Amino acid sequence: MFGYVRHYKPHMRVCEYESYKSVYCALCKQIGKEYGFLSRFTLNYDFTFLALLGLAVDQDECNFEKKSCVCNPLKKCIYCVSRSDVLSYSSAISMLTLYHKLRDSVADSSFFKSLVPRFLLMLFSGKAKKAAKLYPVQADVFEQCMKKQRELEDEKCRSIDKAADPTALMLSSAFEFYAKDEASRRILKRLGYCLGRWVYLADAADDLKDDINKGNYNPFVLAWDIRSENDIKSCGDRLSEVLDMCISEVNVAFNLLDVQRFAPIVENIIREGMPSVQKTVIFGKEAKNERSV
Amino acid sequence: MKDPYEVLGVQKSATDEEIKTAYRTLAKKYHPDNYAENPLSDLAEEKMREINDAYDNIMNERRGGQKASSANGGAQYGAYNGGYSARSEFSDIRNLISSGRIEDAQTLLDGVPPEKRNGEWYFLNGTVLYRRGWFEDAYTSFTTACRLNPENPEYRAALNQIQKQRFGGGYRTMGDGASCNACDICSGLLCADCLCRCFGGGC
Repeated sequence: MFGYVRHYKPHMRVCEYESYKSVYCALCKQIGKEYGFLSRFTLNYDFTFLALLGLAVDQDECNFEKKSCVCNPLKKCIYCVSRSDVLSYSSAISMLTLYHKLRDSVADSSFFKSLVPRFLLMLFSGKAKKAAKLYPVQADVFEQCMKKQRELEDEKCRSIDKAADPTALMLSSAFEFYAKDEASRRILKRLGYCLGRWVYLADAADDLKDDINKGNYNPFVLAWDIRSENDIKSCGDRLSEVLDMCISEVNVAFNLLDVQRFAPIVENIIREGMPSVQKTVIFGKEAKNERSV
Repeated sequence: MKDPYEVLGVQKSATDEEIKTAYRTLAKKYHPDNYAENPLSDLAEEKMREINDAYDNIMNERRGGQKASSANGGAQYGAYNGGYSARSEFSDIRNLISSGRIEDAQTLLDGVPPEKRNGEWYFLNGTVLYRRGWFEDAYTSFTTACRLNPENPEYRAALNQIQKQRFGGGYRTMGDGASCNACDICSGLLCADCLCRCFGGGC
């Protein structure tokens, strides 16, 4: 995951934003507690969404407390406190994903360029093992999906659907964990699948320019025969269509989910945050109708 | 049975008009059209039934036992029945799809030789792909089905649904299909937020 699943702050109520931040801070703290201080810096918005949705469907109560921030002692942060294992689970998934991402970049880059990821991999592989021990089912699925992804890239897969399938299945299994009954299992699997598909394809759209210049694998380049930067500009609307379809499916799946709390925040992320990220990714920063604060 | 007021997300003291509005908003959200071809359509139908029942219950109670039905509430949002076309060459595959056995359906579809692949084959292939989440191939397949049988309403409906979603209609207007601006999104969110608050969520 790559940090694309974000909130859209301008349309958030202050209390919603603070709840959202409290989940972010709580997750940061949990990762620090379980996987060491350095791992904290690997936290991104995607895992916050994973934790947020987990807490949203969780039956247990969810409280908030104000304590000093772990990274900045002068600051006070609000932390979301829950007895459930949602935060611990999201931390583990975050470590597993990081581990696979690092392995991927080691395999992808030349010897000298791979030195940094190699070093990080050494640092984090023990932590990933710990996470895999806690959640073996997910660790297995992740391992298989990454292998499949590599195979598809090696054979230069021309199908957008096939290329997105492994990441989609990964998230599908990650969200399935929160299921309470058969109905919620089906909803969460579908939601995870379409979200994973969106994340993979948004990332592919983001990398289009780089991938063309460097000749790297990119499903859009092969499927639509994109050769130059001009081609990228002309296929912007088409990219939007592909990604909109995924968001739309995430949205209808989420509508069916029984949610205890945080519904407006999740809706903000799905209906505004993701479309806004998607717009930036496809049309560049200028096209974005918001100013950075 | 659930409290009908809770189902609609309104207070017991809400006026008839408020209840109607809440009912319409929810009915739009869970409208069968938004879930056509979707593997979760049965769950959406269930929600829809729940909302219809809750609305009928409240209205009956308020009219002192007089029979009222959601049909009188201004608009009826009934269950959607796609309905199979009269003659189907692939009824076995249709049965597999409707019982959720998507992989088996795909295997059978793949086994059909290319010269026997007609409009219906492309439609069913599209349905299976859509359910798996392979939206690009599904789109191509539905398009081909419509090209081969331009006047078939079933294939046309499937293609329309997917087109609506591809142009943001699926989430930006919650199925309205009309154009939408920042104000609409904002008011939509406000409504959604109010509903959630009544369910006991929020911060």
